Amino acid sequence: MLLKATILAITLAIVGAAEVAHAESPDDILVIANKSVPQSKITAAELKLIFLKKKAVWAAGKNAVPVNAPAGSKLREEFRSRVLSMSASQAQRYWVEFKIRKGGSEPPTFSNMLKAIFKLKGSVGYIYRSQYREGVVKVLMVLPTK
Amino acid sequence: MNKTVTLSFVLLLSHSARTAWSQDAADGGVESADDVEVRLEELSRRLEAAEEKAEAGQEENTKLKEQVQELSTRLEMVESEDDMEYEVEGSKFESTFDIYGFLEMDLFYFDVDKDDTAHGLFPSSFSFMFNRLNLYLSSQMTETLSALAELRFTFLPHGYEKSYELDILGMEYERVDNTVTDPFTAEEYPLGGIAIERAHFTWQPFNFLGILVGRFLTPFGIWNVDHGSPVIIPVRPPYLMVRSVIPLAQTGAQVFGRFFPAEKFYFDYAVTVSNGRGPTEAIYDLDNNKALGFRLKGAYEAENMGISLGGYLYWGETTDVVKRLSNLDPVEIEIDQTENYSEIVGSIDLLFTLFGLRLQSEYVRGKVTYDVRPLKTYPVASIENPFREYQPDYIKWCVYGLAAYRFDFETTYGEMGLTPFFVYEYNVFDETNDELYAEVFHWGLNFSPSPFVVLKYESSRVRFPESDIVHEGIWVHSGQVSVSF
Repeated sequence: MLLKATILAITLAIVGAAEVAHAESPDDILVIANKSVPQSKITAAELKLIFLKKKAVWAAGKNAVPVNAPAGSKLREEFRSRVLSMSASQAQRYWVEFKIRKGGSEPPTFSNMLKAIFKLKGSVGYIYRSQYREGVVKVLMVLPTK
Repeated sequence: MNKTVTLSFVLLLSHSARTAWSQDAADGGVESADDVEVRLEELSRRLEAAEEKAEAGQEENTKLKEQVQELSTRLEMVESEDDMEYEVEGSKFESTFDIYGFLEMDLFYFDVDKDDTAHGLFPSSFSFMFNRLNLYLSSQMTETLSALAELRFTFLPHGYEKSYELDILGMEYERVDNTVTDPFTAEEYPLGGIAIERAHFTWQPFNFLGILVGRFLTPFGIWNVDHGSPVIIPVRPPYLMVRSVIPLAQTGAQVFGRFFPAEKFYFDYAVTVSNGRGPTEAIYDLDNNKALGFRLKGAYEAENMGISLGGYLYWGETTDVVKRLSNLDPVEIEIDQTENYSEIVGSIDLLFTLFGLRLQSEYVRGKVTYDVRPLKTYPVASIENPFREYQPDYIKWCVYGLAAYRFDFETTYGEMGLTPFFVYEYNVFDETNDELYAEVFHWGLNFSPSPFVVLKYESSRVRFPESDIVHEGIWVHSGQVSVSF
């Protein structure tokens, strides 16, 4: 009986701690998409493919339009580091080689990401939780604050 | 909480009432305790129903408030046009057009023994060489339609050595001189040329299906499509590319696509149909046979590691003709084939990356079978063999391996990279011709002070192991500056 109670107490403590660790923070990064995007979640691997333009189309034939935060912004640097696993210099080099290989250009940038994603069909981008407003776009993934 | 308080009050009241009523009843009053209890139960039920209704109403209120808030936000988004980098009308796609490119300047020194025949084959002095200015015109016209043109500006054919002097055949040394003089200013300019490396439009409605039409780079190997000097690690690409063991570019159409069978894993395919090879293939075909190609590649990309394995198979027929006016009245034109062969060539490519390490290799093998054989030509002089020997069928094969490691480091001026590399190649361009075996070692160092600039240094040792002309091999020391803009 005592053992059962102890195990239960420990389990509850762990769950409680986990709940505390995933508590929402305004600095969480939300991966958001236009409501026309035909999926409700995304993996980090697929997100990376889209932002590196290695995957051009969502599954249902809709064009995938990745959108970046302004160059040099903390948000963009954090997203690039965590999702693309690249430094600024590596990303620049990647896009130089990409353009030489197959033409095209790197994703456009917008200072008002929420508005851009709201307007552009098929678009996907990222904002801080503090910038999010309910009902305008859909949230595909959450990158919790580190 | 309110419900609990209310019920408690009611029960208290009822208890008091019950007591009073019981007393009354005992005293002969109007209602019995049972009657009151029944009435109390009914009142409780009605109270519960009223509270549930109130709760439901409140939920609906909340939902309505949320919807109003959402619509207000959306209205605000639609009406406000500030902070947008460019105008976007609703979901309308805006077409884009970009011009960019790269400039390549080389430095060469061919170290060849003066007594070696090869001494005269290469520039004998230390030379700067303006190799190329490549300009890209790229447009995304709609969400699924794009166009790309890559133009190479070069001083060639100015300076090209067309033939050597050969007294016994009355041949003279000829070098192309395109120098022209401006009649107004007397300034002299060497005229060069523009080569269209590729020009095509692409329609890709799905990841798994795209169609490309025009002049395209053959989708084989690792560096044929990524062929720009900012991308290629050595100064010069491997000989299998330089000598076009597989046609480097084709005029025709391509169907291509990409599948994603699992996370971090994708398959590419391409099917090409084109004019194939030939003296005029870029513009028109001299026979009805179209060349076919098939490409397949699998790739796995994790965070700091990647591996890909690909292959390409090409089958084509090449024809050359001469046209002769056999009669003037009426005009009759005869067309004679001077050369006709079919070739089948296959290639395999492998690329492995791990952090800064890069290992890559390609192997190409093909067979050429003649239907109409040309006369063999002497190497170097490019004149027909006077003993009427005809070109036999032949096998060709080439292989190379590259190892490189990129060291990235931070400086005050930003992130820079240093890449030492080593390449080994063995090439047999024609198994029946001893002069066409070449073995090459290159090693060198690349320095990237910025993502847009690469400085390369390379030393190459080129040997022709079966040659009777070049005995000692050649050292080539080269440098390159490649700038992307």
